[in-house]
Amino acid sequence: MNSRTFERFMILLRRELWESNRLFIASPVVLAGLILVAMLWALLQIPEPMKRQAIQQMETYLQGVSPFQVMPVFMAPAIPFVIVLYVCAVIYLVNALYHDRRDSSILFWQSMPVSNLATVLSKVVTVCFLAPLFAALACGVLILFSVTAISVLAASYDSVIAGFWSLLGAGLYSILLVYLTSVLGALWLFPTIGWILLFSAYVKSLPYLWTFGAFILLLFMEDLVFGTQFLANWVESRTSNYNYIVFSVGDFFQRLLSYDMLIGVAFGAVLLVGAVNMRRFAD
Amino acid sequence: MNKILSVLLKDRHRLLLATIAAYIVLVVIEGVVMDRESRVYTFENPYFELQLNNIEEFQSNH
Repeated sequence: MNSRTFERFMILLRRELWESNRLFIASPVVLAGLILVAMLWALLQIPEPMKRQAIQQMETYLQGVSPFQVMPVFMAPAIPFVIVLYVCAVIYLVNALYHDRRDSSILFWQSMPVSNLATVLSKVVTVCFLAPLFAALACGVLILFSVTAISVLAASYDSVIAGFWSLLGAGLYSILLVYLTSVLGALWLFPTIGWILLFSAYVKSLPYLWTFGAFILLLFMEDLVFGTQFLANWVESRTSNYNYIVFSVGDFFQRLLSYDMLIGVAFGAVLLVGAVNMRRFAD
Repeated sequence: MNKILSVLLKDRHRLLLATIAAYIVLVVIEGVVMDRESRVYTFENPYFELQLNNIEEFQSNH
């Protein structure tokens, strides 16, 4: 890839973020804002003795334990962000290749020196690598606020919870892990991304119905006609979250290079090839 | 090869069917090679012994 192609690709990514900023930037920011307000409200409402008790329990829990050893606790606030990210990603993918055909702007984009492959790849990179970044950053603000609030509360009650810098380090590390988990989750569900993009490039109307209806129909047809459930089994194997939730950077590379991950990406790529070629039919 | 490609890329419907067929064939081959369980959802329940593929026996027993 020469520098010019790379530059064009970066412009495509900027276009994706510009067009979908409400999905991938505003949604996690709004969610973080709502949770922050709820946390502040809770901090003000909870009576002093209960707060003191909670801090003491936390102190006991982290006695002699490094915060880095309890990363799942730090990553827990990411759950609503990951759920919102998934919902936004599905909405984005379903409309990604459908909307520009619907409003005929595909004709304009195809007149530009940008290939269909680059267009589809920009959508994939956006949903796999950029969207998780904003979700992780918004979640990170929440984690850092929690760490600061806990440290300040602990100091006001003359308690010491693992030390502020240690907590802060674990908080920052958990932001990285939330990002890596989200990226792995997207790659783990790569066949789903390929499937949705294929139908997004194909349908002329009712994209949600076609995308999910066709898959459900195929699941039933396989069982009815052949008496097998390979597709259902494939879907079931993709629902195991053990394969993409990571609690250390080492885990990330182990999961990334696992057979199941790579075969999923390869199968998703087959569907993406279909989506890229489907862009030829712009009408 | 070129002829096959030109036939597949003739219209959007053919391309969709060809892509889905290729995907399913790959999933099935991988499932057979890796010996994945081909039946996942059965109506097995210790409190309810209906098996749809053995409905006569169920009727005769009840």
